[in-house]
Amino acid sequence: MLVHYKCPNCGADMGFDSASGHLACDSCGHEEHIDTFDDVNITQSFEEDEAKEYHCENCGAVVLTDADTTATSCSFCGAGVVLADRLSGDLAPAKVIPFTISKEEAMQAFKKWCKNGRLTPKGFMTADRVKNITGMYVPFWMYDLVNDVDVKATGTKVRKYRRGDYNYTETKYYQVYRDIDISYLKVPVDASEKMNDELMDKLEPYDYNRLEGFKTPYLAGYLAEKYNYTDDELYDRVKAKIQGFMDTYIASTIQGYNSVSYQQKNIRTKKKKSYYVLLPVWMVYYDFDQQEHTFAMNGQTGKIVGKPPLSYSKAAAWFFGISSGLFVLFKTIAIMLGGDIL
Amino acid sequence: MRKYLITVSSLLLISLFIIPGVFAEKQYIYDDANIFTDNEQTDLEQRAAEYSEENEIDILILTKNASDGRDIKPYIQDFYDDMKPGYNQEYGDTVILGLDFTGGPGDRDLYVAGFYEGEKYVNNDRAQQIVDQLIPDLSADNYYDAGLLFFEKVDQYMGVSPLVNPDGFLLQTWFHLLVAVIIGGAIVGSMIFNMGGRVTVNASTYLDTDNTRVKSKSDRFLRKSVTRTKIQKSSGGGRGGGGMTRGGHSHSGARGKF
Repeated sequence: MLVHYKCPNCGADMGFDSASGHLACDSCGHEEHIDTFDDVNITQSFEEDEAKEYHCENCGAVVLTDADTTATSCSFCGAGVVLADRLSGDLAPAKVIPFTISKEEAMQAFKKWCKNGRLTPKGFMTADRVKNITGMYVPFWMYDLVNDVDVKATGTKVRKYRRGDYNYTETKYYQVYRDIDISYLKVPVDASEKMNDELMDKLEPYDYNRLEGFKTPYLAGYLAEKYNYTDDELYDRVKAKIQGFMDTYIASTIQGYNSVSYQQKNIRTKKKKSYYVLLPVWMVYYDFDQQEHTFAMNGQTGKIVGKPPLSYSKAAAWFFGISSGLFVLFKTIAIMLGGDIL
Repeated sequence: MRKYLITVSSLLLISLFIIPGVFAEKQYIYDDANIFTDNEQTDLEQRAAEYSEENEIDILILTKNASDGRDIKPYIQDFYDDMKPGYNQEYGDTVILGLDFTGGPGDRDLYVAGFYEGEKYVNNDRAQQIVDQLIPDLSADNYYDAGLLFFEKVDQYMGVSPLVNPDGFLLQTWFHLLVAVIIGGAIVGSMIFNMGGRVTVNASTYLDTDNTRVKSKSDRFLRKSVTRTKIQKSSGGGRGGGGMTRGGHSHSGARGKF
């Protein structure tokens, strides 16, 4: 099932506009609010076998998609289309954070980021070989998690004092026990096979105030994918993700000791809720030195992640600059205190 | 009135001629034990005068033998009270090395004392460092070399702020280089590490503060253990440190045996 969003004004195809948060028509500039967009303007075409091949309503061209695509553009006429059958039933996202950064803004921000690269080669900084920039809704699972934590630990308090000809070290041992409830809300985990997990983790955090109920028009004009992993399959990953957070919180409840050694840390994690959400990401593909570098930008906050190439000569220059500056500084202080010049 | 003025100015004029004369006659080496040859004594006197002038502090060497029954420390203190040394004034800035030849080899005492500015720059610790460095020469009966080393050490220590150990690593070039390279490496390393974007979520980003709490806690005292270590006496056989002369002048100091 292929869905088009037709402009009620002129009949052209509409796409989601990140600046206004509305559906906008490129031809006549008409805007429609997503919540009130009339169904009669949504044209749907059913395909017989719901295969990976769809036919564009406008031009009849074949819209080729891979098995995970849920939104794309017709490669001939450019109309933004949504594959609604891949967004229904189990595959229906609960929430979406719409793009707030447009393609031009993303490009601008990326160029600025490249220019600020202190350790990247000079040719890379101009950002003039950006091959492709794609706005994509990446599928995520968000988990609400409740943890019941029992901690047993031994804490020590050390006091040092001097009496007569002796130095005394007094160590007091305490049995520490804590029973803690730790809850986390909407911890995101990327559910797409194609996306690099480390890259996606670094894109966080998103501003959840802009988390909207899912509506297909948000996807118009962007790429979107469906999840490859279910929430149960990613449960271990989200547990690993909050492990460090929990350790930090547990440590914050045990204070006033010189050392704490844990004997037992029982964590029972329960999933209270999981949501299927689509989060906005600008993917930037940059050819440099016959290598393709992939960068991702948070489509809501503009945060850019991805490993740029490293210029060894620049790194060396920074290293020598900082080190020799510090050396001169130390030497100056030493000379002021009365040290020799060499 | 006019006559009075003339008297005062002529007195001032006379004193201008006399005072340099006093300085010229200043003695730095009091060799009661007769351990230096005449040549050595003349040479040491001259060097002591130079170092004293350069550092604006009197640098003296006293020696004594069994004919004076006092210990070397009160000997130096009484000397200070009687002779009123000092570069800037009577009872002024002075560093004194005292050598007592009363005992046999290995049982003879030496003491380094610092008064006023000398107390500041040649404090107990530094006096001990000087004592420790003089002992090898003294034990080998190279008294002249020990005297020269004493002057050099005082000259060096007077130039170094009392905040740092003049012979410590803090003033060494290799230490500065090492720390600069380590910090530079750490900064550039973290720059490279953070090139790909930093993780900006922390333990509180997704925390649901309304439903996170400590339900119960206990901190029960189990037991106590106490270990004690004997405080080590400072090395080199030094005892005491500074003190106060009978005339009421405080000083730093350290002693040793040679």
